Amino acid sequence: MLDKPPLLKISNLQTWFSTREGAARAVDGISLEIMQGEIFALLGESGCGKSITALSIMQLLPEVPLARLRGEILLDGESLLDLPEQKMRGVRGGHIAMIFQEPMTSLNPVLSVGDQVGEVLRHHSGLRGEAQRRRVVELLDDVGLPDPEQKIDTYPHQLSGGMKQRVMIAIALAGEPDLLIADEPTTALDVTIQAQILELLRRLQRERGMAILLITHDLGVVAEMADRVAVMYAGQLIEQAPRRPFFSSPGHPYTRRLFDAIPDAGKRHQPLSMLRGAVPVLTQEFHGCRFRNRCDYGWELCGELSPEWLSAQEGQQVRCHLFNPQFAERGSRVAESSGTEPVVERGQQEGDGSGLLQVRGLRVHFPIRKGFFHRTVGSVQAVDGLDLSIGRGRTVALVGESGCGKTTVGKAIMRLLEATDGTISFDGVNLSKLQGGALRELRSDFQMIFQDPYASMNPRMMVADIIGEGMDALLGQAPSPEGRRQKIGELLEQVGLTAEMASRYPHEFSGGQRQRIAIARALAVNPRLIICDEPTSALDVSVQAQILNLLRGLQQQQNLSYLFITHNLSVVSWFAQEVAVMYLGKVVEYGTVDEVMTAPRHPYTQALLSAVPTIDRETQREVIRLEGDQGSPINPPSGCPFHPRCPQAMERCSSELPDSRQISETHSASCLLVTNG
Amino acid sequence: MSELYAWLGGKPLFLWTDMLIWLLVAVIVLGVSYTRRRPHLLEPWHRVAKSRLAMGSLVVLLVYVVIGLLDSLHYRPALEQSDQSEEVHYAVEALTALDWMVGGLRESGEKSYSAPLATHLYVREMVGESGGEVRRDYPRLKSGGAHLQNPQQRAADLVENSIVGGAKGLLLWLGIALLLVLLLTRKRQQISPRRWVVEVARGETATPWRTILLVTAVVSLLLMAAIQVGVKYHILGTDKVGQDVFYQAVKSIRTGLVIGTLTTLIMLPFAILLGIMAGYFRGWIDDMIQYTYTTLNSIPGVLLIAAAILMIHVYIDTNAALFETTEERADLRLLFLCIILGVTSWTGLCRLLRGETLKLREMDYITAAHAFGVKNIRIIIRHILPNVMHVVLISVVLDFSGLVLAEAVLSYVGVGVDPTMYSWGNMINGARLEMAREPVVWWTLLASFLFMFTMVLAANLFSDVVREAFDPRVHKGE
Repeated sequence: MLDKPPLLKISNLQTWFSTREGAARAVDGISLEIMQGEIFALLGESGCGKSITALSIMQLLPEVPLARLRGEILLDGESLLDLPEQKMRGVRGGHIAMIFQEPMTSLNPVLSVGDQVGEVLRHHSGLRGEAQRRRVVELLDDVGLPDPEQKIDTYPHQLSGGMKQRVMIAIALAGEPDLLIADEPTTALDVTIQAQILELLRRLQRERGMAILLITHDLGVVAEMADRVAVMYAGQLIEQAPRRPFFSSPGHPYTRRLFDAIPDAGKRHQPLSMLRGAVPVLTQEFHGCRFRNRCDYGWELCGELSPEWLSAQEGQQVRCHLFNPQFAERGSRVAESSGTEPVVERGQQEGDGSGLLQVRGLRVHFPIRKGFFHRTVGSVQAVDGLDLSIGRGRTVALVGESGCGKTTVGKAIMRLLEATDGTISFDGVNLSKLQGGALRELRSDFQMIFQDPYASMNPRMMVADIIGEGMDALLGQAPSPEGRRQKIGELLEQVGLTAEMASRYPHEFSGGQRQRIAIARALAVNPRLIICDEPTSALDVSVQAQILNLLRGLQQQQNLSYLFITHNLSVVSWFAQEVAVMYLGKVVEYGTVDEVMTAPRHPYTQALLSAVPTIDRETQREVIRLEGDQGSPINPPSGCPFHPRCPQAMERCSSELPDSRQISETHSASCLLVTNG
Repeated sequence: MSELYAWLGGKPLFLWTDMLIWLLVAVIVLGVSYTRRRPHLLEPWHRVAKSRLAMGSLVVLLVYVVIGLLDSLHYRPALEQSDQSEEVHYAVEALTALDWMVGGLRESGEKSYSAPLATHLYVREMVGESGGEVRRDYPRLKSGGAHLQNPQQRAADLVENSIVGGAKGLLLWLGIALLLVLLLTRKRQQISPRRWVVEVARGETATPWRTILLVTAVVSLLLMAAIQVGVKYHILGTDKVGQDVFYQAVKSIRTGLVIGTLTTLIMLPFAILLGIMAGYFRGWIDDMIQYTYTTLNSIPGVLLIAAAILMIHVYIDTNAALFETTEERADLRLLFLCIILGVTSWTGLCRLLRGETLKLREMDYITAAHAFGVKNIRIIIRHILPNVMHVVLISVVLDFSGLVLAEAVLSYVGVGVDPTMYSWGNMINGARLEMAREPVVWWTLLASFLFMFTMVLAANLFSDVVREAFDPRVHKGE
């Protein structure tokens, strides 16, 4: 491999943007080489400069004033930075193609799929007419789009997210590129679809001998895909290694922290490892190591001298002074200490488990109205007969793919949506019957935390007013301004912020800090149940660990119950005690974490678990591949809702709706294959 | 009270539009002081303040606004007492603070048309010679260049007066600049006046003071020169009845400003209330409001305006006793023109606000507020209204120039302001016949065009920058 010249060679690339505060060093001197036919993963948290690196290669940088664009990008020996725009256009698509994170916005909604693929063909290979159409069908077939002959004339809105991403890949392949840049290609997709797309990318890479630059924040995806990995932090590469040594012994302290921050079942009884502080501001001039303010092992040298590349083992290179043979002694000490994470807290308190919330037969149907007089012509059966119970001080996770109705369940329990049918009883009171004032009195008992920390608070209100809103509306008695301020200060400190932040506005906070404010807002009314709607999915892994630790700590202090709505299964196994798996508005499997995560009985749960990319490559798992997409809640399949995708479906499944069958006292599943145990 | 009026030599006249204009000024002052204390509200204004284009046009707009505000203080001067009776009579024709300041312009009437800066009338008249002989010739003007012994000295006199006026303008500008230096350096102690002046001269300050001062210099030079020359000549000539056209154009500023601002003031409550209600409550409320504005939108606006103005006209004619002065009559018509323009133009903003509210009501913080059991009215006031204010502001600023132009068109068609009222529309309407005359009288049209063009251009440039500063899409990356 080494005798061949690299396909892409980047040396000392610097992309700086000029901002009001000075030059922002988005990419600051990175060098890397990508060989023909390898998958190279660029790993990093948001804002570390990985997308800017990709855009610099493509010469598609955003239209903001550049302070500096230096270095060298050689593609097959040709310098891309010196190419005029006209020649660069031939390189884009022809030699390098790119696919983006958001398939919804990457396709033009008014052009048919065939036109969009054909456009690239016409540009790069001059194909026209019938020949072009034939080639488009071939390409669509190649990316696994069913019925390419028909699909060629469809428009993007007629396709699901996974299908759109396949079309995007077909467009990228149309120019026969040597290098495919995939910028978070599966982040917006569900796990089962993600597994399909990753497999497709691997197959295409094998068949075509194409190189892929995979940009991602997900260690699991890297473990599945990459031949080599580079970790990026604050505009610099800090570690480069082939996959095997990278996962068996991550070198840089930052990389190790990333590994530790990933929640999984094995870490259940200890808090997740957290990174203190924040990524340094990129507008400063750096001296020394950029990670030193957050590093546990740093010493004076780290502040003075920026570390050079030091090799660790088998081609693994790390930018950290610990790997300098001069400091071998320090390095070995670190290696020892990293294995044993001190268990600070005792195992989690399990709560007394007595029932706090009981949901029976919950149905939420949204009517579809059409025409001048808004006749009801059908309904979206978002939630269709759901049972759930949450004990005091317990966490129940509600797991499912997007569109399965899990957020609707949360909102119906909050009485933010009217339930069509069913009972919701909270501490013995039937919520679904309460109206007006009586409901408002109970509202302080259950609160909600939202997914998007940017949309969940009014940008025009001060933090104190955001947190105080619930207190004012629900706690009735008007506390003195002094008492109110004190309470808000206490709440802020409880969630790990400082009291003086009360007089600031949301835009001054980072995503993680905002999520803390959202938690403080919910806590302000002393709730007993908090519904967490994907509270960490918009956050980076290291920040996610902070928020999860905080939520668990609060649960132990205040005996809170959580309904944890998520699609992230590794979080579930760390955080929850019970799991409900939802599919198309119904719970298909229910049980304790151990039961569901280790011995799933429903075929959907099995497929879901197998699709999650894991870091642990030793346990070779078989991915159960699900065909197609989740059905439509407007017109759900007859019988078992899962049968059209189920690998084990029988004839009976299409006619018979399976009821919930007990496997053990706590474990149940709705599948005909499961026999009452 | 009446003693006071007698002593002042006039009695204040409270016109509806005057009061509304000053109410608007009060609202703006309050709004500014509210905004100053909130950094996130102030932030887009900082962007506006950094734009050279915006600050330059703001200076021009401010001159217009000051003239308009001075022209919105009406009073009725006391009439000369012929006998010693106790009762003081006040004139039927009201004057304003502006008239009082530029009295010379108003009183210098001629017989008929005269060209800009002329010394003789534009039309021939029978002139009686000293010998008793009568012949047709261009007679000397009564006030335009009347101080000249020999009309041939006009050019030299004009140059002299412009220089004197220019010098006065320069002094005025120096005064303003000095005041600025004192105020700004006192506010920020750490900077010495000398250094500040150097920075301004190099254009290094964050706020483009150099541009502001340059525009101020041009404006004050023009202003003082116009005043200096204007009291001796008719800068832009006179119209058919011998009135100074420059004076007319200046007086029209108020009409334009009133139409441009009061109309939006009247339409805002409709648009905001209905737009937010439609978007927030959805369902049948949304349907009703949507049908209302769709219906209203499909009636031609001019038709509604013409009908309303006609009705007001009839009302004024049948109730003539209610109005003591001509100004009050004209003012009522102006007010109703604003109202009817407002009623026909709220739909656009209403539609925008409905869409924006539809988007906002799905935001998580609104859901969170619902989860706290916060009442609807409170959610609207605390969460929705502040978050749609930028849409309101942008549309108000953009609408302003459109309304000023609309007034001109409506007056031209004959359904605009009262014919006795000074307005650019009326001037253009009058110029229609003058353009067909031989020789052509072109200066009325030119005057109204110049004044209107300057204001609308400045307003458009300013609103462009405001729109950009408040547009969330433009500044997402920061």
